[in-house]
Amino acid sequence: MEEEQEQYLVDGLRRNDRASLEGVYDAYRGAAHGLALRVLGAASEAEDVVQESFLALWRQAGRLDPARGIRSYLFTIVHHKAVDRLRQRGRKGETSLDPEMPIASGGEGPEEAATRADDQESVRAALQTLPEDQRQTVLLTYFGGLTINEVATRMQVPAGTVKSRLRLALGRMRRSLNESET
Amino acid sequence: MNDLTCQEIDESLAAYAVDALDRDESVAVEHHLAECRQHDAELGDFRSVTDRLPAMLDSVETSGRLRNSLLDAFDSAVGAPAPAEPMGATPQPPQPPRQPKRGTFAMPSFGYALAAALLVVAVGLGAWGISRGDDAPPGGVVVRTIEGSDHRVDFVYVPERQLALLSLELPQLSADRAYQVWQITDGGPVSMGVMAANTVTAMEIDLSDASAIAISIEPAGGSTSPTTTPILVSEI
Ligand SMILES: [Zn+2]
Repeated sequence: MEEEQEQYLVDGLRRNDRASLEGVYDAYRGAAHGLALRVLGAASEAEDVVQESFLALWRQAGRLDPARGIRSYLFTIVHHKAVDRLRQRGRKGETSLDPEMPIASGGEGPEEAATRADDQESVRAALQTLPEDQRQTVLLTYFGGLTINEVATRMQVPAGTVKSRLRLALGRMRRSLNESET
Repeated sequence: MNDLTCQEIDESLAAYAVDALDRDESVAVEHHLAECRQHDAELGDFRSVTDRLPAMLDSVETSGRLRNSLLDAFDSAVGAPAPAEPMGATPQPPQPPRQPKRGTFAMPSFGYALAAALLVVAVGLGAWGISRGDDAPPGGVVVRTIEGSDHRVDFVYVPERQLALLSLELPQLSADRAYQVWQITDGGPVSMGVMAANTVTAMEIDLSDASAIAISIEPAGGSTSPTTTPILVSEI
């Protein structure tokens, strides 16, 4: 989304403008839902998280720095809420993916889709630069919603090692993503 | 536990950025960050990466019901006194509502199986986390990869959990067509869903009657049975 348009929508959210909330929702609902669904694996819970997240974004609009971008705030909120729910649920998998659920369609315009395809390629490439243990750590924590202690148990290493792997991984990915942009 | 040193924060900041800290530790980090500006830059760097990780995922359509429900909630909140979401310093994510502490997890659990299998599919690493002796679910795990010059399909099935993961990297189709995945049973093909050309999908499904999975190109909404010859078939 253009920066100007983002600023306009942020201003709208701050004024409690309904149309601005709809604008933000239409721009990001598909991506937000995709993220919530990946972490939670349950359609109904994922939709709850999406709704809560857009409301939280609106409530925080006054403190939102438009330079960081709406998408960035929204994903942070969605991820946080989805992981929170996963942990509350105790990971028992009471709910699961509906196999008939249309998994990947719509929710974004052609422009949005093209941007995401580019982005996907850069992120994929950045992940590929990581040593295997670091890549596994990023995927298990971010997409799998596992805690440091859970990853430590599974990978049979101390929690401190998991933390430092994450730190190295994110640092390296950042450099890789920066390079791919210049 | 609200007396973490700056060094301890440095060590935990990346874990905080991916929401991987236990609740107590996460709250302690937030308290520190609310009062100490030394970590803003590094947290911003980490967030610049985590913000982009969702690009790996496909966008998923939301229901019209969700839209209405969101707007209803907005309307009633706007009608109510000024809303405020409690939180610490500005750049931090929203503070989670107070919840009872969770106990220890029973592991391995569905969540982990999903994460581990997702991992396998997402980066095509082979059978990490499944081939390891300590994690190997009884009953075996099916791992299939079909690869060609312009496509790659990874399929992982964990019978014990009736969990299937599919990673598709296929040529893009025109908007009126879609890829549809089928399980081939004695009774004929049964749809496993319509999928986009490049996607990673997890589903809970019983494939015990399936002898193979197949992918065909169908009209955008999918078909009740294949209308074209499958482009890929893999025996299970
Ligand atoms: Zn500090």
